Amino acid sequence: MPSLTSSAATSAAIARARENAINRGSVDADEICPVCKSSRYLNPNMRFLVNPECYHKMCESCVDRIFSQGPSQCPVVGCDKILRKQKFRKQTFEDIQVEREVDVRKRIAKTFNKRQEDFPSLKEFNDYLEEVETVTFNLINGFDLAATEAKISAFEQSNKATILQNAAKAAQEAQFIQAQREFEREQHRRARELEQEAEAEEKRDKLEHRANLLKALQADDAEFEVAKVNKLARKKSSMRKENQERRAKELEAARNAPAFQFMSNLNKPISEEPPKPYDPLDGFDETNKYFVYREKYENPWLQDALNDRAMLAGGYLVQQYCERAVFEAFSGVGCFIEDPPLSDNLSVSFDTPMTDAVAG
Amino acid sequence: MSATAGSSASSSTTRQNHAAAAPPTRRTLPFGNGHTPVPASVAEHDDGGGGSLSKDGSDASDIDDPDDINTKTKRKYTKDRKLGEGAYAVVNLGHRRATTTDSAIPVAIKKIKVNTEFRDGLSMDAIREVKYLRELHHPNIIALLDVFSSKNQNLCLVLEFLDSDLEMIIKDSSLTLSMADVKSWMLMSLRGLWWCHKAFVLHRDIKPNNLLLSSTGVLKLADFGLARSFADPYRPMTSNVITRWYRPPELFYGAKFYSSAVDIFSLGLVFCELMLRTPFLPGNSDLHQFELICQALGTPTEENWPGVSQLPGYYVPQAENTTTMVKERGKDFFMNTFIAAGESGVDLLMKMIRLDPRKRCTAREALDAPWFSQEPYPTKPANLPKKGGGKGIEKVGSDLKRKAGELFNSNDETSGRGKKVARKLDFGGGG
Repeated sequence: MPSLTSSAATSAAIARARENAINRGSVDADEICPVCKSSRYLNPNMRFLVNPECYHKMCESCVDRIFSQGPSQCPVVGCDKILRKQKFRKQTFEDIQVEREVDVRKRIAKTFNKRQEDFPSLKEFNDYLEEVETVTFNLINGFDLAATEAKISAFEQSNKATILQNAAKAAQEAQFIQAQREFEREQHRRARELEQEAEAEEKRDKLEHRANLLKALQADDAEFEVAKVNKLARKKSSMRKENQERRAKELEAARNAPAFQFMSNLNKPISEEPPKPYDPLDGFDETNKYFVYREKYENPWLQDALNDRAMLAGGYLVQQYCERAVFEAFSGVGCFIEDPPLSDNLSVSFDTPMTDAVAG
Repeated sequence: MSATAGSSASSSTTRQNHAAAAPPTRRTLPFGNGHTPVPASVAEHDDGGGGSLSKDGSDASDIDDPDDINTKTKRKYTKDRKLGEGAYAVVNLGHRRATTTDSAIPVAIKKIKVNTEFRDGLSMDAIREVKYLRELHHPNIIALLDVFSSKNQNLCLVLEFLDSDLEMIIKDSSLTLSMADVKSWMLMSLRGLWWCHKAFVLHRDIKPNNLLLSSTGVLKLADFGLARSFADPYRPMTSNVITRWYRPPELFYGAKFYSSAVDIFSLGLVFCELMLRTPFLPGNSDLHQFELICQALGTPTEENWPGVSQLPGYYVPQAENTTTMVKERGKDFFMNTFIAAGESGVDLLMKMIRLDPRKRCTAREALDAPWFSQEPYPTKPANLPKKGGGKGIEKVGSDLKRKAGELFNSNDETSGRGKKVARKLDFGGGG
């Protein structure tokens, strides 16, 4: 029996503590879910979520419990917003007002994304900014909501194309910044590597020099050998220095030069090269200099071939034979023995076609 | 075209007598006929170890000596590593040494084993390859840079190095191929084929893994091991060519007189494969293949193919599973299957895979198809999907060493030549 009374006492104590905590204010409100009154003390992994519809805070398990079955009304008393589970997210700012304002500003920035270069003068740009600010303020503080919304959708309608364009531009810029950062990181890494490498090289050279020196001292003509080894070491170290300097310079040049060049191209629309008119032969000339093919060649020897049904059915083309005969008859025309053979300059490039390959 | 390389080469051409007055025996390989000038650089060479070194600084009077030319050619290239080896050839990755004027470029050196199959000389494939590649120079045809003989009198073909082929692209499921890409590949292969046909050469083995791709995305026709020049009238050609899946119906009927239309048909099926990402007509035997052709394109009859019954192997497949005759397929059928190509693309495709070879378009006509000048425009070669990495290199190595006309690398099969080319289709009594 005593155990029972004690447990009843404990639960009463917990309830009291809860009440206190809730009433005490914001610090402890972080510890207790306003919907289910579960406290962090009982569930250390508790996470709070808000929905940008009404920004009422509740714990994750409440969200699961209430909204798993589909959209439902906000459980906070007096709030009649219908919420969806998908929209719940973690709160970024402690102050829910700030959170809300940031959301509104994000939304506005998506639509009102004009840039200064879209306006003829600074004044017009400033007027535009003021207008945007008014809209934002109205939304945040709930003035003239209907009129403001109408204004926004009207703006969206009339500026569809520019909005899209500017969004693409912004994406491009973000991409560029990302690339730039990566490039910088890479540069740093390379510089570090270079330094390490140089250090290791120096160490190695030193050791080598010492070993050589010892060997030289053992030799018969010690003095001469030592001088030689020293000279070698000097030469090596100066070479090393030169190398390092050169590499450092290269690195520096790379850092300063090319990565930022495409910044200037950033605002230009991506220029699609105008498609060239289609050339079926890709620049090859199919006209023959010395002859033209005739439609038909009369030759009694070919008559049988033209009438042989089996030959016809197989797809054999007598015309191709005739053309070949004509072609070969003229192949030698224009070729001179004194000229250097074509094959000499053939292997120079894969992509330089002979003008008339078969004539060779 | 008899292939008799002088295997009984005089080994007397040694260092000593070369320097002396005795003129070196001048020999040329026998693949020169009326049409082909014997390649100047194809010559045999007895490499007596360091002997080649002494010849290097030869005087001007010796400039035409084939041995010298061979040595010079040979010294232009180095071997880097082996890519693959087969019964027919060893393929090495190498590069051309940098000179004062040219920078180093990677090459594939295909060393043909002389005496494996043919006691008396070179294999036919090698001869064909050298014969036609020496003459065909086009951006969309693989370049044969040089030919030289090694110390064992093996013939080495120095080919442009290409790192992948179309088959790899088709099979790589991680790539998505847009219609613009397909158009670009078709355009390049048609240009290559047009050039072959313009030079009166039949390729006779068009298939995705013979369409190689350079690192810059340019497609090049390769493997001229089954190529031949157009036949004279009344001169029969063999119908046992072209890998089965891409073989046109007239060859199944044993036609002895055919034309460039056979290549167009093969390329048409490659076109289908590029869109479907799987072979369009993958027959598992010649008979099955022919049934597939009949089902997909229609059964050849005198109406849709005048004179077809005169072909030596004419036959209408009437196996239990194939129901009745299929009428030659109309545009609706192809529009359903290849809707992505659009109307003009389907038009081109249909012209390329007509049953009657005389109704097929030529490569030149295909290039004029409106499909190529319509949107989406063909992708620029540099922007085409690529398969990167070293895997490609190995694959091409195995492709190169595989013999022409073979579907897969069949190491288990006996290596006789009869096994590798297409077999004659015996319809039982057809002829």
